Amino acid sequence: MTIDGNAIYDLFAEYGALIDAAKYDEWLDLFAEECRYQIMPRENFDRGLPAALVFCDSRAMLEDRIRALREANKYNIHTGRHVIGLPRIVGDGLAIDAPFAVYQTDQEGETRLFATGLYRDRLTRVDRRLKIRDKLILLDTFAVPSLLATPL
Amino acid sequence: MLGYADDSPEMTLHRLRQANLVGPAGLVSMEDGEAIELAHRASKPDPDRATVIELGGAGVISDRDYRVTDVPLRGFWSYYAELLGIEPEGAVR
Repeated sequence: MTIDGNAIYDLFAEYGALIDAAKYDEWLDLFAEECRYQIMPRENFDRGLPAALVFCDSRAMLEDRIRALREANKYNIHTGRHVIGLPRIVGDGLAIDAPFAVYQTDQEGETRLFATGLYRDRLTRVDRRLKIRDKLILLDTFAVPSLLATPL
Repeated sequence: MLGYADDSPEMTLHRLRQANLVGPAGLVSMEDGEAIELAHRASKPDPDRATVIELGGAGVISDRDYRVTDVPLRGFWSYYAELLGIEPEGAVR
């Protein structure tokens, strides 16, 4: 199977842009029907410990997260900005790594660096489109500033 | 701590799913992180010592219709110590 680099770039560009634009339904559509999404501190990953800050091992759990964000969560209103580095093909089976930084700007106009880390994705082809089958978001630190409401 | 060494894989998976409820991204605890961070910032100036943050509450302990100051909490612990016979010297009732 040949891997189309442009399709991979497009997917990562869409991924960040859709979250920052709060287009969460379209964002969910980037995931395969059977998928997993985890946000995990690097410390845990390095030590082989499975605990994650967000652990969604089905599409339905991911949809619940979005519903909670829209209807239930109390969180700081902010504008998010994903800066996603060039994706790198690291293995067979559409295994892709990409570094990322996420900034948040609050309602007082203060911009702060919210998170940095590494996406470790496993992609799959669905009807000639690339979709995310498994997304492991490794945060560089376990110390999340206050709360983590919007997806990384 | 997430679980125990002799947990079955199913139990570990159950705990991983349940852990979605707590922590900075916890479905039931998210905004608590914001409150705790505020308290952390308030106690930061003297990191090598203990910091006490008072929520009002000085003065006479008396019945109140609310719990928005530390008076009712002082009342609770005062009576608790009285009942258990562990009141410190000079305790206020």
